[in-house]
Amino acid sequence: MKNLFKYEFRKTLPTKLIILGITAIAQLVFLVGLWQESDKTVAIGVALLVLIATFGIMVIGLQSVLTLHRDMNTKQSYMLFMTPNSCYKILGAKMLENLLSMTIGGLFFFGLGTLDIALLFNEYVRIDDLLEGLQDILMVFGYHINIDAGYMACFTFGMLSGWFSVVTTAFFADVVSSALLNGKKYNLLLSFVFFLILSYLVGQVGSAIAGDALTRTEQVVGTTMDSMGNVVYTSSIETRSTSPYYFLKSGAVSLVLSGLFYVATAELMQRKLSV
Amino acid sequence: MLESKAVTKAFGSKIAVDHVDLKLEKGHIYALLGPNGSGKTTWMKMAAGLIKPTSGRVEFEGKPVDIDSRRYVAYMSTEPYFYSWMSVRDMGKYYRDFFEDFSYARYIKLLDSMQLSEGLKTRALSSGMMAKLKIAVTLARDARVYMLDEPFNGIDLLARDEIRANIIEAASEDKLLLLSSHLVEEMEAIADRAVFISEGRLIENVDLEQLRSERGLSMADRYRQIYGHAEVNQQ
Repeated sequence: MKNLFKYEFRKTLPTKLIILGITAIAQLVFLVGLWQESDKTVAIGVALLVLIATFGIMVIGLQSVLTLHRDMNTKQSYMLFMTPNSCYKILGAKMLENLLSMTIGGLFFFGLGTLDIALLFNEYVRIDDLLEGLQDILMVFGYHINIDAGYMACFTFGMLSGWFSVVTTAFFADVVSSALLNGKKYNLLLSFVFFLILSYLVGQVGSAIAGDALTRTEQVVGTTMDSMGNVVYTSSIETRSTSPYYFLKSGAVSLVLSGLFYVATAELMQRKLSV
Repeated sequence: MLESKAVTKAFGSKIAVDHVDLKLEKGHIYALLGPNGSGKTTWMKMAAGLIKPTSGRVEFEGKPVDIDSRRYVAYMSTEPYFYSWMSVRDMGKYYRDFFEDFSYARYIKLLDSMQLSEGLKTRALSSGMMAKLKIAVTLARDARVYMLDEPFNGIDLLARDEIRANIIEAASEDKLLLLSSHLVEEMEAIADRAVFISEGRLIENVDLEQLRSERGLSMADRYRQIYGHAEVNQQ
């Protein structure tokens, strides 16, 4: 397993280095902007960093799906399937590598973001202050969320697990395509449609178990009364909030579903996949 | 040692291997012969556990080929299959990481004999060099079964001599070697048994010494007998 993991990491290394390289360029733009006190350059740097942080993690996930596809559909597949490793181990190494890469990537971008905000305000910003600021920004949009380190940890866990379940769903769809539909007309299109249907079903199962992400409450902010003291008009605003437990629940559901997909995918590979 | 029991493989409506019953014993070098598309490569891939048979099964030492049999069966594909980002050195390390019977020292010796440099990237190798590398990683294993699919493809005469010597060196009483090739005369100098296959069906599994002494035929003669007529018809 250790060796499989090592080579899985090596296969995806170029993509990670490209993401790291683009991040370095964006960071440089940001730092140059700060040094030259150019708001425009800083804004470009920030925009680039936000984009890379958002898409970087997604790209790591997609890269792993593409690698699996290549490992099943090109002659390179012999390199993997000739070795005395079960499909459970082969797929397990791929999934573990992907989960760890996305987690480390997420932590890296979170750390870089904290550092850059500290630099931007030219002072040491405590994480608590940063979260409080974020909470104030969200309140402007009607989200009353008590953001603290615990909430952020639950949120990160929920998001990463959710994205991981998307990746494992794609793994399953790709293996169905390679093992059962190989050589058939519209193979790739069919597997993509299958992936969309599966993703929808996974979303439905997740919602059914974890519930809705947002809790909406009406809050009365003012009343208008007539001369008799009767309320003739009530003005209220809708406040929206999300409990950290929602992220814990949905993250746990995503991980359980990912586990089920892992077993189904590995079993299918073991029984039906010819390379 | 390696047994095919009523093995069939169909790709859609095309049957590549058709109910092949074949028993291969240790201590022999088998030549697997047949024209293009006769099912040699498909059968080898099933024996290597890379392709699942449609029906029937291939057994290694009495058990169906599976993950465990890959520890003892060294298969060399006719197509290049290396990761393009790897160097020749990386290939040796990769095999060392996954196969307990792989000897890095023997690998280096084989590379030297075939004048391959460790620093070369696999993507930069010519087809001949790629063929040599495939031979080197496969024969550097101390496997019980070696299956080499077209080991002489794209290789010049001198390198072919070297490869032939290495193959003969790998052979022993407790090992089985199975080689497929179009170069029938080349194979005659190595093999002691020949398996003829045509249109996915097994024609004959024959001892070459017996073929010569009892029927007065060389392997090439028998090849011409079996396939010559069909080829004339095809023209």
